[in-house]
Amino acid sequence: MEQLVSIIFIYILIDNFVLQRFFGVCPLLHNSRKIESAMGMSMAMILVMTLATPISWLIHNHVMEPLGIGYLQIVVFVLIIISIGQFIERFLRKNNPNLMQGLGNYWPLVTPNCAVLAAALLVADKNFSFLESIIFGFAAALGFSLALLIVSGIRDRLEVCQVPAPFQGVAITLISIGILSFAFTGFAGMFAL
Amino acid sequence: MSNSYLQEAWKGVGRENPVLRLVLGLCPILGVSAYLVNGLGMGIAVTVVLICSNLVISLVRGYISHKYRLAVFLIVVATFVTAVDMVMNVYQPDLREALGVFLPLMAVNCVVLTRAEVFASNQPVGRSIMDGLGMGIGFTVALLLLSGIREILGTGSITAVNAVLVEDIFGTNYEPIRMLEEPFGAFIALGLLLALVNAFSRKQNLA
Amino acid sequence: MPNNSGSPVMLVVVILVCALVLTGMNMWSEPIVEERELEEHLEALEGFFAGAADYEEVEIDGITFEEVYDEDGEFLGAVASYSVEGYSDYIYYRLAISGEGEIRGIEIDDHDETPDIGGVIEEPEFQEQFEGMPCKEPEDVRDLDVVTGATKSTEPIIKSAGDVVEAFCNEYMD
Repeated sequence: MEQLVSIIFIYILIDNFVLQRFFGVCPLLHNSRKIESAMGMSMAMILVMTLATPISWLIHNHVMEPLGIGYLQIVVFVLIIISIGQFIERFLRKNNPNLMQGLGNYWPLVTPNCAVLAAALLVADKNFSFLESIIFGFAAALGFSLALLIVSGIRDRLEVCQVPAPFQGVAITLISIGILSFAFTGFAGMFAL
Repeated sequence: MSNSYLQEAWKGVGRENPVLRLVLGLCPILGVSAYLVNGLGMGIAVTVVLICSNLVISLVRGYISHKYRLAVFLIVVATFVTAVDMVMNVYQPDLREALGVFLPLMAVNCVVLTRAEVFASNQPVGRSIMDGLGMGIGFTVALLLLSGIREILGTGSITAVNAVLVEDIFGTNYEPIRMLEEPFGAFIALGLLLALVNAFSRKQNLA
Repeated sequence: MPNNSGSPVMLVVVILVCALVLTGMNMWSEPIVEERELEEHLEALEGFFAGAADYEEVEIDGITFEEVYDEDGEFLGAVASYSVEGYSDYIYYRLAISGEGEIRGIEIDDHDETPDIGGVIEEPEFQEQFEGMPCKEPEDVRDLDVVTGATKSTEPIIKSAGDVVEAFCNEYMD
């Protein structure tokens, strides 16, 4: 149990997927201009990543390794992620079209995403248990969401600032993310697995 | 159809540089730029994947149904990435280990996928190859710039994977800007680099 | 131009072709990579046992050992991979015991201990005391000197080393 809690805190604060590992920077940059976009993207990521990690774990450990087709890992994981995306999309369209509306624009962006694939690959690499893999995906997505929401708030403030012309847009956002990342390094050493 | 083949390639390096102007594919750029050699290796790998995937997708562009096109792109790219991974494992295992998880992450690289969708899926093979080449070189140039800044200013020396190539570039009294080697330094360095490029291109437009 | 009929045939064809290509490439690259990894591993084992030519992984009393053989198939000894909880995080080490039942040496693979305090586990002054200890007396191993001020780093290694040699003796020295 302690292990699981550690995983959550580590991957949100200390080893944040975006701020320390650079996964998911592209969607972060593209979706942080409005808080609504940020919320939508966060929900989408949490949903997909929490599903993707245990499924990847299962297929990697119980199908691919025994069959010796580990070298197809990248292709298979990409297929898994696409399938999850399709499946969720279909499910939501039927059962909760409002949610799909809110998430709708981000769906094509969620699928080919560094963060989701990175999470799946890391889960295959580390020796997590099945439960740990679910928590890992969830925590990584939470970390992404946290970073996304904070950056979105920062960008909101930046809109009313006088940013020098060359810095406007991506440049100043990157610098802001950098400072945020710096702030997060203060969490290092708080938890250990 | 106004661009010659050479122009097709050259636009990827300068005017439409995927990283510095189109702002794509930042994840691996940030992740791999701590060391110049890693940046070069990654750039070459991405260029190879770009050319190959653009080639194949352009070849089959008439046969892919609209509904499944994203899936086809992703699978083709993932296949080439896996192939590059295997080749690297045989010939450059140390570099492969240094690149870590960013090598397989090429399979969802924004640059590769965007070029497939926007260009290769409706352009002839020749142009697609040139586009891949140009975008790849542009990507590599941007990556080398960032890696150069980070490693040279951040450590004062250039290292290969297991050996030091050039040492004490600024003399032994140089106090390296260590923060550049940290994750947050990467963000800041890239932000500054982009601002520089923006300023430069503005001057070009105004001139 | 792209057809919109939504047929998955092309997708399936693409998947099959890709799988075939990758399988072929794997058949080419896998033996080369395995050979190289074997060589690297043997080089690491040579640090403990000169002339190591082959190894086999076994599990004794829940501890993972690698039996090391020379090119004539002679049993040179075994190397145990073990991990214990140190002060900050887990410490991963390998303990090599010769065919005659004496500790050849210890190697710390990974640790997160404080450099000047717990980091002493990487120093010769700590590691050398293991060398030559007979596996028949695990209590002597467990009695080795803990480093004052770094007890939480050094003691777990010493205590667990005793378990390792005990398992080795039980298996190989009757």
